[in-house]
Amino acid sequence: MPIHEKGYRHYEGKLRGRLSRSLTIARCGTSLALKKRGLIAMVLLGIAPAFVLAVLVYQASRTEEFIKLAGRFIYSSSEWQLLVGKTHTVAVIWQVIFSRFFIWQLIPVASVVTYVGPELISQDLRVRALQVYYARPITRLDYVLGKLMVVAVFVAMLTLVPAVLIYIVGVVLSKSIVVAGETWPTLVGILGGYLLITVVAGVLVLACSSLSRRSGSVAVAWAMLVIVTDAAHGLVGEALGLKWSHLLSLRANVAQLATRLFDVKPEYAPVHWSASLFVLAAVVVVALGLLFRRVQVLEGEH
Amino acid sequence: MIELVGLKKSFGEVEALRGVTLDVPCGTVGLLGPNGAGKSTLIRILLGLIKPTAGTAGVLGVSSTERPLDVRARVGYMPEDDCHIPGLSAVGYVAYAAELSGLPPDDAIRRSHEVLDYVGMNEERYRLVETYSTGMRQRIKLAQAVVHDPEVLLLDEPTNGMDPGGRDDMLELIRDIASTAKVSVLVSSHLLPDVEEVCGHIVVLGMGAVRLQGDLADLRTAEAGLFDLRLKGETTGFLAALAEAGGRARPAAHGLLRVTLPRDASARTLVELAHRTAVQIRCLRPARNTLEEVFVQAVGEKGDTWTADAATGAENAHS
Repeated sequence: MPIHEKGYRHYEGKLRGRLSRSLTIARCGTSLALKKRGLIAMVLLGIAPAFVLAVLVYQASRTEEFIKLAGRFIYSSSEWQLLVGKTHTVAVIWQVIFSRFFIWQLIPVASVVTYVGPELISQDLRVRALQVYYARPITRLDYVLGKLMVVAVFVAMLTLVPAVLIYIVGVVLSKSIVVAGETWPTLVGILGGYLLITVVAGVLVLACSSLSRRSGSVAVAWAMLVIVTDAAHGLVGEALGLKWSHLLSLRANVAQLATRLFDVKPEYAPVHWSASLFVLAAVVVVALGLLFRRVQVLEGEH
Repeated sequence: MIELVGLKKSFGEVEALRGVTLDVPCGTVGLLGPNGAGKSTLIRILLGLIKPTAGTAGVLGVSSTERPLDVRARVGYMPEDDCHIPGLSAVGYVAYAAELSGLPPDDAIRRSHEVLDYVGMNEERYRLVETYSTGMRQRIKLAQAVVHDPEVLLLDEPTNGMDPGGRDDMLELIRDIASTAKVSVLVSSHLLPDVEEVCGHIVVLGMGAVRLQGDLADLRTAEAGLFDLRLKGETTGFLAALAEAGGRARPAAHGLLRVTLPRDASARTLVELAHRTAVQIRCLRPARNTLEEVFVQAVGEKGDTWTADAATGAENAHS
């Protein structure tokens, strides 16, 4: 007598809601990405600046010593005065150093996204896996959202998670509940900065990824997008002395908005931050349009 | 199972479907047609992946155009193309497909093991999918199609690239899914013997229109004056006498002769001719059209290319 019935059995359990589809795609994408050789080392290396941030946060309560310390790492005393004026509260200092941390992290984020992002859609095209998705009760939005969440996880590892942890430790070590009340704009800045980087990097890399079956080509295209725009900013700024040259650079526009989110004087002060917002919004809208158009066409093809 | 009313689909100037109206009953249905007949377009419309230019399409009473997600929740699809996700084992792949259909993670894993047992995958289910043979990939494609327990199964070339043993297993599984699990199955295949073996009903598409639809048993009706005959002995005299009597014979499958008699003749004529020419009749029965003949009649000359493909496919399947 068989001890295990191998015939067809009907499923009698309950089904989960729509959001679970995107989470499933995100979980699978993340676990597959983590199998990539060297990625964990890359992430660990990428969060090294968090240790500098931790030291600065620890020192922030001792204002004068902090300014000396900060001068060695991030700003000269005169720049510091220019940034925060004469008000040296813990809250203001935190906003400055956390915003600086987010700007530092743009390079590790770009590197990790270059490693993880290109395969997210291009691999599905290469192995015709889109059929697995589109024969299921999921929409294009579910699919794109799931893939975007994979990028979000890695951006979080490099920015949100260390920043929030250091923030919490800083509040706890301050031994004063007043600090939590005063520094909440920093927490808002952390969340805002994280979302900004995730949306810009995620949408752009996914749009690139949807254009080709070859992940290597996508990685080159994405890296060039980051490097060339930054180089253009440097060259135009140097050669022509234009104050708005940072608008040409993805990295500089994100840095400009990140400082704004932390309510710190903008990185590229002479030009209003809304110009960077406009540039990034336009880039993201175009990339989203391209991404959904490509995914729709590919859905029909399969 | 499937209801189509005036379904049209154009890609630019090319009309893939030209006003198809069809009511396909539940059961096991074969979808046949030459390349470019509109089979893939029809399947994509049924899944709600593309919108028709005109007309409506529905599965189990649910509109594919208005509620595609509801349709996909009740339909399982086994694509023709080899599609897998590198880095996943068969268990992980099928469980992933289950979760995409909404099963909770624990149920997805359990269900994945159940359907992999069902399609005959043993310990190899823990290996990475990209290391599998074509036959094993066909099995896991079937497993991912049934993992969420669909009411309708759309199978696109289910025996593609399988060896004879694997093909027999796959056809047996399809028969079992239809009969035991009561899942309606639509099989789109180039391999006529496969369709003939598992389907009770066929739909033939040609040039974007329905050329023929009906129960296979009805379509393969016996034709008056047409017989299958097996003889023992020297047949030259018999064939000459048959020709004198106005009949003709040609070789058919399984060593039989397909004999066509004139209108005024009957089976008795064949018995008399055999007696006169001293040959033994070992088998004599009214001939029925094969599916290939039914198909050729339905699509006419346009089916020539397809029949050649089908013959090659059938040869491959049986070799």
